Amino acid sequence: MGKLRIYFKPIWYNIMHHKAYAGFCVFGTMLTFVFITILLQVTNVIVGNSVTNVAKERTVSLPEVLRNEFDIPVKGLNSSDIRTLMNNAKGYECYTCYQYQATSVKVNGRNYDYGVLFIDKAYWDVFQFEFIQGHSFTDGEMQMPCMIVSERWAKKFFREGKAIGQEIQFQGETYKITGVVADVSFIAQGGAISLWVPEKFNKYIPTGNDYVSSYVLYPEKMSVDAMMKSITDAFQLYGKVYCNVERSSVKAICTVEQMMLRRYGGDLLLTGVGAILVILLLIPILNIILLSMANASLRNSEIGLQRALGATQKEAFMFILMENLLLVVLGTLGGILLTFPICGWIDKWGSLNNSVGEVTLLPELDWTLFFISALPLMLLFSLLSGGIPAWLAIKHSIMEMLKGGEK
Amino acid sequence: MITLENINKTFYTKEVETRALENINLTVEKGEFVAIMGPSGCGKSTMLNIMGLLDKPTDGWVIIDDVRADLLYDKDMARIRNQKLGFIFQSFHLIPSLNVLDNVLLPMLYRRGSSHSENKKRALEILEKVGLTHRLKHFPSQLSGGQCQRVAIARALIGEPKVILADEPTGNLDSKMGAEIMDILIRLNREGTTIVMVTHDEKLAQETGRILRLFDGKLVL
Amino acid sequence: MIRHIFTLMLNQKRMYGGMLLEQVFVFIVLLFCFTTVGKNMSQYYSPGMLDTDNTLKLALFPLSPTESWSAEEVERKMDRIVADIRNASCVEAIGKSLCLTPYSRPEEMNPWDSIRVEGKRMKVFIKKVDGHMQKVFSPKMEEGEWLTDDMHLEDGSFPVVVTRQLVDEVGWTIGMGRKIYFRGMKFTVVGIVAGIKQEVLLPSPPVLIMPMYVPYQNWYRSEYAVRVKQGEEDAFRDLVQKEVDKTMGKDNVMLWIGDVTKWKVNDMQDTFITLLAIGVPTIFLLVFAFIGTFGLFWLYSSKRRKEFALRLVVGSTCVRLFRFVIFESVLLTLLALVPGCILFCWVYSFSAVNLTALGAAVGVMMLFSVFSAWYPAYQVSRVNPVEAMRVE
Repeated sequence: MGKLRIYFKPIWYNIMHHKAYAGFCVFGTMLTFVFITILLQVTNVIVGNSVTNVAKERTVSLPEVLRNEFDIPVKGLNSSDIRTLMNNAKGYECYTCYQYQATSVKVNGRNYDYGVLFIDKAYWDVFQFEFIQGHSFTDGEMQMPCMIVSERWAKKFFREGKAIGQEIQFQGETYKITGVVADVSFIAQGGAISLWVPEKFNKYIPTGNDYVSSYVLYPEKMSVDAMMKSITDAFQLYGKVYCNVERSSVKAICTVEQMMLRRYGGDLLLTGVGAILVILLLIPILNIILLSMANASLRNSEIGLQRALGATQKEAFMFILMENLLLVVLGTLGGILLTFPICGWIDKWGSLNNSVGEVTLLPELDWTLFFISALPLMLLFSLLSGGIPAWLAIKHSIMEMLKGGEK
Repeated sequence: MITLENINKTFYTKEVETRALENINLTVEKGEFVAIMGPSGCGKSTMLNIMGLLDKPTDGWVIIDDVRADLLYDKDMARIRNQKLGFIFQSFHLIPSLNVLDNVLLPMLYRRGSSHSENKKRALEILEKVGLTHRLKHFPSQLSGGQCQRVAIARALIGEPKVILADEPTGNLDSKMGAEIMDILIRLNREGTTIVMVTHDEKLAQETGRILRLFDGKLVL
Repeated sequence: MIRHIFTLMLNQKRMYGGMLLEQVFVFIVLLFCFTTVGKNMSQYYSPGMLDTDNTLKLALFPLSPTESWSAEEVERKMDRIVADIRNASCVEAIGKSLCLTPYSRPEEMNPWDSIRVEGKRMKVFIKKVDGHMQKVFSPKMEEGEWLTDDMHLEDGSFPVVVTRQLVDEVGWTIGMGRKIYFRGMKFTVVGIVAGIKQEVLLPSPPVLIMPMYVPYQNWYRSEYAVRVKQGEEDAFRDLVQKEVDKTMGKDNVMLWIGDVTKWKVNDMQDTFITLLAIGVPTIFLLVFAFIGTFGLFWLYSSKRRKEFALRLVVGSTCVRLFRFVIFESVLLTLLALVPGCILFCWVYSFSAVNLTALGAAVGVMMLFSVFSAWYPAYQVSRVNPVEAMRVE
């Protein structure tokens, strides 16, 4: 204990006597790791397996409109069309069709603009939301005016988010809430919606049409090529037989995984994320290294004295590195903690004036991701920003170091 | 050349008033080699700094080449320092990030109308005079004390100053190197350069033309 | 002086190299941010943005269509309701149109047709409006006048307003008075509007705007748009719902009201998020680099006190020292701009927007450079040569 105290006392003394430098390190690291945490978590939502993206590589999205090979729209596809189309598709587990309508709902006596998703029963099989209250629509409930809401929406309008049994009016009907689902990032599939209603109650207002978005779930063992072949063959056949289109455009048919990648930058997404990470780390590291080196002369005399008194080069190196590691760890922890209020602010700002739903960027942090990515990055950050100046400091001779590192 | 008339210099702090110089009157004529001697803290360096327009007297006049220099604007004083005076310091004060040639050329950076090639030619001539042509690209950290002082002398000479002010030029050198430096200064004086040198080495002072002694800020006759 | 500073930099590569590298990266990030923002801003400010503040869209849907509740009958009843509430205290303007209200749907889903003009076939979007829509959306008229309900031309042709994009695509130098033939009808251009954008970040396409009375039909129903007075939205909603219930009964029709302002925000949301995701880290990196560079200059200036004192001794002045430090910083930044400028020439085109972004990024870096060195330069200019050169 005593040895530890002697070891850390000069480190603490140094930090206290260079508050500006220490504050700069901690503050800079904190902000850097806020951005890195959010970036990694968001990337994980896009390319990883978050709640509704669990089966993204085996869920195929179909377009709302059938187009010919020249990409000219021929026909909007409704549920009935999809049913006919799917009769010729093979090997799938289930599929779902839904339609989005922008509407005005009355809650607690006031009108609010929100988007409502009119869904079939298979929706919850394809998109595996987690129910935190109630349940998904039963067969009976599909024929009744009931509604499922998101967690964030429930918390906004009902005390403690207890929404089951509460009533909402829109389009002349009163709907009873039968389920609440856990929040999903608005970046993920289905994450931007807050209200779900059985498709029976869709009055096609205001779109005026019955075109649906469709998603087909395939079994795990099926390859992507086989899935795509099955669905595109069925699509082409439907176009030929029912719409007199010799060759339909299948550009818009893709897996949810491909769709998300396309939406957020395509093949360059991971390269882009990597480049952003490098820049987010590089500039603060460079700054800290340069400041540390500029601040070096007093430190060098102290290290020179320690070496003159018997410390090895390795011990001297670790001494300098420890100080930096302490500051970086403090900064990283601060950054992680700061992520929560910042995400909360983003959610608040994103939901303001949003007529689609109550959105959230990151409903929760994936701690596994933190341990496998942010933590190593933190160590790398510390090693570079502290290790390089430490190595530069100890490579002088003891006499030079006693003179402050100047020749 | 340089005249100090009724020069007084007092340093004021919160607690105490220190009279560094009291009623100094002296004239340094052209071509003289003057040594200023005195015990530590008697005001020698202060007097040299006032002569060199690095510090302002509390009272009194500084006249350089018949011009009252202590009342000039900062930029005019700088011009006088650049064109008429040369400085040599005990600690050499070379810029560590410039090599020998660049250190010697430094004063010419602040002189308008001089061409770089002419300056370089002059610098090389001076460096040959002080025996450092083989060290042009070396940095101060790669030179010995005597070599550093020779670079400082070359720097002081490049502007063809009328007066060289040397503050303990051999203070950080051993006796052999100190003697070499003194030889260079004597040679320069023989060639016509006026030199005012602060020293507390009696032996060196005897080699100069005139010795002024300071004690407690006053000239002792 | 420039050569001297370069010599100093070359002799202290480690010190200046680190700062140079940092500024290179900051400039590249800044350039990327500014070009992205510039591109989006130029898209946002492209001609044709309609004024949608405090604007609501109304639509009426028959719940069980019969003869007495057909779409046409409902529309006639709605016209009467609209005429009644036009003078209400909460209403600034209310009008009727076919697909004029922006942000309702992607432009490609709006009605379009192929017309032949001056022998050239082109795709144009078709919209119908009444005279009140000008007060609702304030489209920017470049020439001529907006359509009115009673506007009839002497030669029997229908008046039409076109967008500037249509005029440019056809290649007309003068658009006013031109004739357009479409579906057996003759139209005369009586007005040219700067554009009609249906999506915030997409440019306005060629559009043909005709009066409501023109017998042109498609599958879309008429829609109504209202500009309400500030803070009167709830009052308007209650008023119009009461009128509809009174005139048509609750069970026969459904009144739908949408907030156009919120749709505009939704339309831009992805872009907003992208810009935020780029802009915020850029600002952070810039501020961080600024503080770091400021700190470095300050530290290095403190360490070089003797050097600066010596410069004063050999003939420099305080002002020149100040300028020297600033100049060092500016020169370092200028060097740092070079790789970014080369990358810019390689990656981006030389459009006005991109060049403006480049200029802005250079300007910010120059300010960064001057301000990060300003205080250290001031400290340096106050160096007392006597104290600084005192032998320790």
